[in-house]
Order: sequence, then C-alpha cells, then structure tokens
Amino acid sequence: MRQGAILRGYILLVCAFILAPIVVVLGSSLTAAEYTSFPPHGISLRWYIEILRHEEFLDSLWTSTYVAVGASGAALIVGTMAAMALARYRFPGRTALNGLFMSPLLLPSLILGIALLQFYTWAGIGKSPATLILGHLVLTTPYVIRLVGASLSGFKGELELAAQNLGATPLQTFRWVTLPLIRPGLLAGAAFAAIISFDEVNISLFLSSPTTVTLPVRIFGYLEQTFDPLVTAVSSLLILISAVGIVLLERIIGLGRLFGVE
Amino acid sequence: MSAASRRRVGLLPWLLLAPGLLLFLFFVIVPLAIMASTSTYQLDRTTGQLVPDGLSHYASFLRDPFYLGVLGRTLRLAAITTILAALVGYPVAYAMIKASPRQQASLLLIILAPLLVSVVVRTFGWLVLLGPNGAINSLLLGLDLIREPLRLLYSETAIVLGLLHVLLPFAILPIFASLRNIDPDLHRAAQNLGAGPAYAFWRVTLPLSLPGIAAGSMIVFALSSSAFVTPAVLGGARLKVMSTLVYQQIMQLADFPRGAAIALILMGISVSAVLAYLWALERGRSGIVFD
Repeated sequence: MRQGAILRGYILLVCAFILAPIVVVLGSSLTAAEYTSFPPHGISLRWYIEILRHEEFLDSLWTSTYVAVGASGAALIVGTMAAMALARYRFPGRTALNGLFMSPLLLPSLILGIALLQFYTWAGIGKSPATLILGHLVLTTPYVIRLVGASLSGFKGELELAAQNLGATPLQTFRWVTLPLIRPGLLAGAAFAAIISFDEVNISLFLSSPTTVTLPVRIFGYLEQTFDPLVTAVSSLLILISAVGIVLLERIIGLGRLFGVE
Repeated sequence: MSAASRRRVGLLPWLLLAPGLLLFLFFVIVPLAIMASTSTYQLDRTTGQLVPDGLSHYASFLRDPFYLGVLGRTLRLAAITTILAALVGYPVAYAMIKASPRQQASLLLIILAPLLVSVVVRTFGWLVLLGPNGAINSLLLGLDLIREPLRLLYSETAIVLGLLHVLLPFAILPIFASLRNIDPDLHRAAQNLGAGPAYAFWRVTLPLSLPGIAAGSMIVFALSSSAFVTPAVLGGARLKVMSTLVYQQIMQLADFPRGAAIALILMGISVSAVLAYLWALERGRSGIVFD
C-alpha cells in the first residue's frame, strides 16, 4: 500500500514536470506588469491586445497558417496516393520506397533544412512561400502515409475488388468505397500534418525569408535577444492553437493510437 | 482479365507513387547529395567562390580541439539525457501498466499532449522557469533560502533539463509498449516459485522490458544529439553543441561547405542511433516468444 502511494506521488511529480513549462507560459502571459514573471503580477489581457499592434506577429500568424494549410493539403493528396499504392499493390522496390518515404522521420529536421537551403542556393531558387511549403511538405507527408496506410490496412482490398467487379471504375471505387472507409485516417493525417507544420521550427529557420517568417521562428528570434510578456502572449496563442489540434486528434483517433501505443 | 486491363493494373501503382517519388527525389535525395558535395569545397573568403578541397573539413574537424570539444559536449549531454530519460520514464511506464484503463488514458494524454506543442514554446517555458525573475528563483527568494537570484540559465544543466522535458515521452512510450507485452502470469509464476516481488521484477519483468528501454534510449539519444532549439535557447551563445555550431557556420558565417561537413557528421551520429532504435524494436518484437 505504501509502495503504491510513493509511486503515485512520483507520477504526480513527473506530470507536474511535463506540464510546468506550458502552465508557466500560459500563466505569465496574463501579467499586468512590464516584465515576464511567474507567478504573474496582476491579471490582464493587455499583452494579448498588444499582439494586435505588432504587425510582425500578425504577419507571422498569417504565414504559419497558409504554410500549414498548404503543406497539409498537399501532403494529404501526395501521401494518400502513395499510401494507396503501398497498401494495395505488390511491386518490386516496395520496401525501399517505403523506407524512402519514411526517411524524413529518421533524418534530423535541422539537416533537412540545411540540405534544402543549400539545394535552393545551388539551383538559384530564391526563398518564397512555395519553397517553405515544399520543405514542410516533405516533413509532413510521412505522417499522412502512415496514418492513411493504417486506415487502409484496417479493411481488406476485396471490398474494392468487389466494386470493380461490379463495373466501377478505379476512380468510382475510390470515391464510393475507399474514401468513406479511410475518412478517419484522412482527417487525422491532415490534422496531424497541419500541427506538425504549424509547430515546425528547424526547417523554417533555414527557409524563411524576411517576408515569410513563421510564428515559431519569430518567437525563437525574440528568445535569442530578450523576452517581454508579449512573447508569452504569442506563445500562449500557439499553445491554444495546438490545444485545438490535440482535442481534434483525440476525438478522431486518440493520441495513443496516433503515437502507435494502442 | 484481359491483357490490356492487366497492364493498366501494373501501371496504376506507379502513377499513384509518382508525385511522392518526385517530391522525395528532388527535395530529399538531391538536396542531401548537394550538401554532401558542398562539404568537399572550401569557401574562399576573398572571392566568395567555392574551391574544391577534398575531405579537408572532415580532417580539420577531427584535429581541432574546439570542434572536438563541441562534439564531446554534444555526445555527453545526449548520453546524460538518455540515461535520465530511461530512469525517470521507467517508473511512469510501469505505473501506467498497473493503472486502471481510465487513469491510463489520462496519463497517456498528459504525456503525449505536450508533444503537439511547439518545441520553441516549451523551451520558452523553461526560460521563464529558470530565469532571474522565474518561478524557481521567486520561490527560493520568497522562502528566504537564497538572497540573490541563482544563475540557472545558460548552463549544461539547463540544456539537459530542457531536453529531458521534450524527449521524456519518447522514452516512456517504448517501455510502456514492451511492459504491456509481458504476460502478467510470468511475474505471478516467479512469485509462486518463491521469488519476492522485487526479485521477480529484477529477474523477470526488467529483463523482458529491456528491448523497450533500448529502443527508447536510442530514439532519445538520436533526438537529443541533433536537437537545436533547446540548446540554442537554454545554453546561450557560449555553450555550443553540434547543431548550434552548424547553425552558426551556415546562417551567421555563411560558410556552407564547413557547415555541410559538420552537419553530415551530426547526421551520421543521429542516423546510426535511429537505425539502432529500429533494430531494437525489431528484436523486441521477435524477442517475445512466450505466448
């Protein structure tokens, strides 16, 4: 019995450790003072209102949003097509291809960012929203392939074959048989890809131009110099956006399954 | 099936794969090849041109005490983080196995949810916690335990703390998965044969969960050796690790060749750890032979 109490106390301690930095950012963003402190001095929303007066943060919020939407949308299309091929067909080089598609999970994303920067420089391609989105696309596509692939392996290819035997074209089969069945995988893949892109910093650091600075990169830039409560408010905004994604993903497939433990 | 439709089936997977294949060819493989080739050049500072220079960057890296010091710090911090993550994470994974399904679900949520919050924000949280006006100093000052704020930031301890926080879930998950695969009857059988609970844990449960510990450790090592934001923010400008060194070479000194060479050395360390992780996972799966 006493052993159980010790273990329980320990778990609470670890949970506090895990949640502390997030709670501290949320808490100190509510300060009424001129400097960042925890616990906050007074309670106010003044630093959230202050965000609206700083165009660079609004620009970054917009950049992060369209990059996340663009990258996750494209990843959904490219990833679903690849997942279909990998799940439903046997062809030479299938294992190698799967390995290639999973390689961004294996590579440090910092290295991928550097390689892309050197590649763009070498090819004479200037930094633009498109180059940034392409970087995020490479990073997020593996997750879509995994999640949609898991959905596809949840039912047998015979259903699709039956539809085709009844005269459906491959496109009709996909629209009316496959698509409804893999909807949770598609939703989870799109949501996860959007969150990964929205939070991403290592690739964006190298591929952002002065006009395409994402929100995490903007915050990182501030942290290197100084931090006033404005940054805590912007960071809290990022936490709240992630929280929406967490709730969505928990609803759609559950975080445990998302990270492969259930 | 007619010959024509069979041929169509043969082509369809490749049509489906084409966009992904082109994407990964042009935005993963080619860039890595360009980076590898760039690392064999030398930047001529007076002309700004790249001059072929063989493997000189790699050779000078291995001779330079400063670079070797950075490499040593990177490996040391990654190793400390890995050991701490396994030690701190094991009891958590163990408790999750013993918990009711409801408790297990909420624990899983607490452990996993922060993974979806940007690492910049989580690291910023540590800046607020450890800073001179931060929570820890306020608490200690308030309790009159110290007279002046402690200097907690910009130290190796701060880096390890931040890395441990970001990577702990990656240690817990594989241990949890391997513990769950152990038949509880084995533990009971050991106790029926006269082993105490501690002895049964030591001789039965712990050895069977080793593949999970190994897998978790490898992934934590890979991620902590290549982590950038945490050491950059919590270590400050002076305490360089491999990733911040690469960033400095490329973004501040614009020395692409040297940056590429250091990046490739870092990639070698991190990727070998990931491959070891995959190997440990594979062994873990085939290692469960008791069912």
